[in-house]
Amino acid sequence: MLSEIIGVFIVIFSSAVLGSMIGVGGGFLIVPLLTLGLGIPIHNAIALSLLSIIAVASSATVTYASSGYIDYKLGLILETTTVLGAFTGARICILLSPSILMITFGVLLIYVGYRMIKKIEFKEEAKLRELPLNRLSAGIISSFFAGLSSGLLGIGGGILKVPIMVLILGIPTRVAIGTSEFMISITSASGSYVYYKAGILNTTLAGSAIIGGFLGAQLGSRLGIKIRVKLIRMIFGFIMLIFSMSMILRGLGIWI
Amino acid sequence: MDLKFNRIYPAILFTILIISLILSLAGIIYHFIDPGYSIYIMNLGVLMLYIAPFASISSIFIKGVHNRDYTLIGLSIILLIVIGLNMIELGLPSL
Repeated sequence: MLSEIIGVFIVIFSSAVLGSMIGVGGGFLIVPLLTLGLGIPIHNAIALSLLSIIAVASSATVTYASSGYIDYKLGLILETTTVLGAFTGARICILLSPSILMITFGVLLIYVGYRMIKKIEFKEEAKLRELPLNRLSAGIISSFFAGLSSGLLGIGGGILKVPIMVLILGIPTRVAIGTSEFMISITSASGSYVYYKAGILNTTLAGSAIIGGFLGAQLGSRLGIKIRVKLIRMIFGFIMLIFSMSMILRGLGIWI
Repeated sequence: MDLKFNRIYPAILFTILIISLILSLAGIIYHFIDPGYSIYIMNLGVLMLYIAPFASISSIFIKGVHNRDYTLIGLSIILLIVIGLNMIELGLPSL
């Protein structure tokens, strides 16, 4: 058990450090590492990933809230459907077989890996004084799917939430990232609670997940200022593409 | 109020995180003394983390009340109801 506790801590700590350096939660790294590296069943890995993301996102929220980069009103509007998505996603995940989950995760990793390597710059629009109803409705509906992916795959969902806020709602990128972190702390807690009540969350390993997530996020956000983020994004992207292939192949029953 | 809120809210959230961290660490250390009892301590650490979103929404609710911002009050109540109903349906947390 000691080796498992240390293993989970190392995986989550290093993922949180890397993730925080480039402004993501690290769920895309945590789930494959726990599953492929430590041999933890994917359902348990997703539950642990979501739990650690609560610590990572809450830690980031502390920083963004102090700087005033959170749009609370917009966050609450979008979070209403995101939370519903997270609860639904987690419930669906429990019903799905590990192989289907691995293939789904692998496919999503290809998209995330591609986005990491070829960084997509968002064109910011002038901040709208009043948000048109059609744009807000589109944002609310898309947020449901961001929550669904979070609960289903054990990710924070920031990779979907930030583009929704910047591209659909015309929010400045920095505010979108801050609001997204605030939302992730609530979304991941909602999804994680479903796993906790279903008995899928391993409480013994949960402790090291919380500590690893919190400490990793603190260190990563400080290191991110000093280190060349572009290079890390490239490395992160290539690792994800390798993981995506491994996850898909393992999901198909070809052991790698 | 906004400046005050930007100081108080992060402080509340950080305190919750630190308590959760301490409980988790205590749980891990205690695991090697009494594995059965350590589960309770670790459970407490996990539950503490689940309090964080409620603390966030409640802080925003109080901000809304202070600023007489009825949109903020309404939205935080709706979100609390949505999360609360789902949690009741799943079963309330217990040690």
